[in-house]
Amino acid sequence: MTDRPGRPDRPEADDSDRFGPSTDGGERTDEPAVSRTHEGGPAGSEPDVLSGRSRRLVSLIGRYRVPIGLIVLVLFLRPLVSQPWALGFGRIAATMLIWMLFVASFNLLFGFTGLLSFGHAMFFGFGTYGVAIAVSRFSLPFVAGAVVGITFASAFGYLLGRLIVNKGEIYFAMLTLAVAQAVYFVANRNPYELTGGSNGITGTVPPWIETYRGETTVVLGGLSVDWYWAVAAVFLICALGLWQVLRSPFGRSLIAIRENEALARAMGVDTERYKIASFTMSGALAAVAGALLAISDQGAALETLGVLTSGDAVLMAVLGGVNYFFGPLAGVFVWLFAEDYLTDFEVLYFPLREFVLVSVDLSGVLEYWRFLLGGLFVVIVLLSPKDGVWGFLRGLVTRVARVGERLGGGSRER
Amino acid sequence: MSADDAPGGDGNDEAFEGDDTDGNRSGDANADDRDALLRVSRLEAGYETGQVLFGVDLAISRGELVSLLGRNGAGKSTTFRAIMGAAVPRVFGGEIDFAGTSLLGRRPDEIARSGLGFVPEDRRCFPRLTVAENVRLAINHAANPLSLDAVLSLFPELANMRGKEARNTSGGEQQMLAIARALATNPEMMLLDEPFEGLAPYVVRRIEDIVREINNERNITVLFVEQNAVAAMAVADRHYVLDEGRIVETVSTERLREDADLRQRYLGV
Repeated sequence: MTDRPGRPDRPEADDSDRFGPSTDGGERTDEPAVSRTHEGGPAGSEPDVLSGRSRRLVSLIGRYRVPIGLIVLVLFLRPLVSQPWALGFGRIAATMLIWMLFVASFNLLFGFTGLLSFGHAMFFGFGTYGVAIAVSRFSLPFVAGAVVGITFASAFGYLLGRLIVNKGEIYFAMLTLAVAQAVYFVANRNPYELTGGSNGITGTVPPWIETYRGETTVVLGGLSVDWYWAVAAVFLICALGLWQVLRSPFGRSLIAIRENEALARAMGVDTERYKIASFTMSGALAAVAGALLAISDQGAALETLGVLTSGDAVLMAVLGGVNYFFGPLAGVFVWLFAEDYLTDFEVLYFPLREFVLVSVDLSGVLEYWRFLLGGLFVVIVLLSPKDGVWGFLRGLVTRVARVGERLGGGSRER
Repeated sequence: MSADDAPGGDGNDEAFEGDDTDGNRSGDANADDRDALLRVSRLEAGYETGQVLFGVDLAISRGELVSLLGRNGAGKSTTFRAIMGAAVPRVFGGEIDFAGTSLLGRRPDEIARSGLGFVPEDRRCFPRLTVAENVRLAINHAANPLSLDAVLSLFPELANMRGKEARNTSGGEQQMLAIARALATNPEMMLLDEPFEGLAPYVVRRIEDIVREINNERNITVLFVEQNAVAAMAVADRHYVLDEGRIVETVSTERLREDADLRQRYLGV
């Protein structure tokens, strides 16, 4: 996603609240481990000044902060990135949601089970190629391709998981990488003229998709909906499902395995079965994201299966913060935003374009945006490897809340 | 932490009696040594770096409260790990029988579900799970568990911090949580690895009370590892002394208390 249609020039804006709206409302969202049982959080000091009714409301918001945060994210993501001072480019919002789903599925395995997969792109690719092959090669409906792709990814994940899930961390990472590379090379060889080799598959446009001037619309039985909202609906369903899974006893067992596998086993957890289940579920969710990508990109690209895609998933999750439900989502947002932002602008004006005092020509330097993002990544990992951007923001909110609490407490005493 | 001012033995006794899941356990504490609940014979085990156990023999009857004493490196924790079926150490020879069936070659989670509750050393909990979730995890994976409320009613200190993450609790609370978690599986026997290590004296007394209660009121057979003979004598009725991978003595508390020479030789006290 390096060349995008032209966008209006954007003045240099204050970075600090750039992803305010996407995280807004999510300020109280945190990892599910804490969400259900949080008692003494920042909200804890409020109830004594509130009536019983609003206290119940506060606790309700606290309990359902993840769904609320997800809805806020879906509602505000597109308007935000469409702003001229942001990216001025609404179409990227659908891509962002798809990647968020993909990286969240990866993080189910990495952040919540403690298994590092370096080959998650294959599951993403199974979904993409499933849909692209079904629609473009066999003129089958999208749903058939998606079902085949997701089923294949689940079965593949289950069987592969049975083989490698107990081989130890390093070997698990290496084996997933090796298998993903094998899948990549098979797709590259274009077996039975199905995958299209290095050209991939193009022109995957089901009859219910209409594109006009780059805007993709879903037209179904007289109803016409923007593609973004179709993606958003699938994203919401999957993310809420993931949230439910994580707060269920099943998810708690996964977290126990992440925290201390030997101890979990000594407590009677059949860790192998749980890890296989997590791997399978994670693969299936990645394939769902992949199926959406096939429509968004109108085809399947070989790079989707490549090792860079797998690597990006790892980096995005770590950048965002693997211990949090919203961590990978924040990571995807920062990553894609930075990618798009940094590759685009060339001249930096201080303080503003209208009142220039100094201007710095950055063309050339920012060709190395991945390098800059890499630098940001290193800083974040060095500061706090598991917290990432999301953990940093949460820490900030907690600190601000504590200061506010102290101020509020002082005024109440008076 | 408020462990010491919590309701004492009486309150807990009521909680114990109020729980009827207790009824299915046979209460004969004086079972014959030949049909021991846990029998370890000629156990040899070790790590890649070398053999640690050179023939450990244990026979613990239903209802007993026994300690496994020994210096650092004598092989106490290795014995426990072998019983619980951990991936390391490797078992070279011998037998481990629990309730009449062999434990060798079985997976740790199967062993845990067969009625052996394990309290790991260093009071290990799942730090990012809450107190309630730690216990619930054990409940969800046990064959015949107690209810969460029944377990927490035995630990008033824990009952009002259900929603607290385990990493934010004190050492004594973590030890109680580790014990509660093992107790929740409603085990026939509990193994505790250095349960008094690194705790403040008044917390140690509370944990001692808990261990005795578990044994007396619930009729759960208890085997615990300890370095400190004084702490072991305060709790257990019988003691195995382990030295350099072998059981060198089996003594009653009275013998151990009188025999300063024995303590000096094997325990360095």
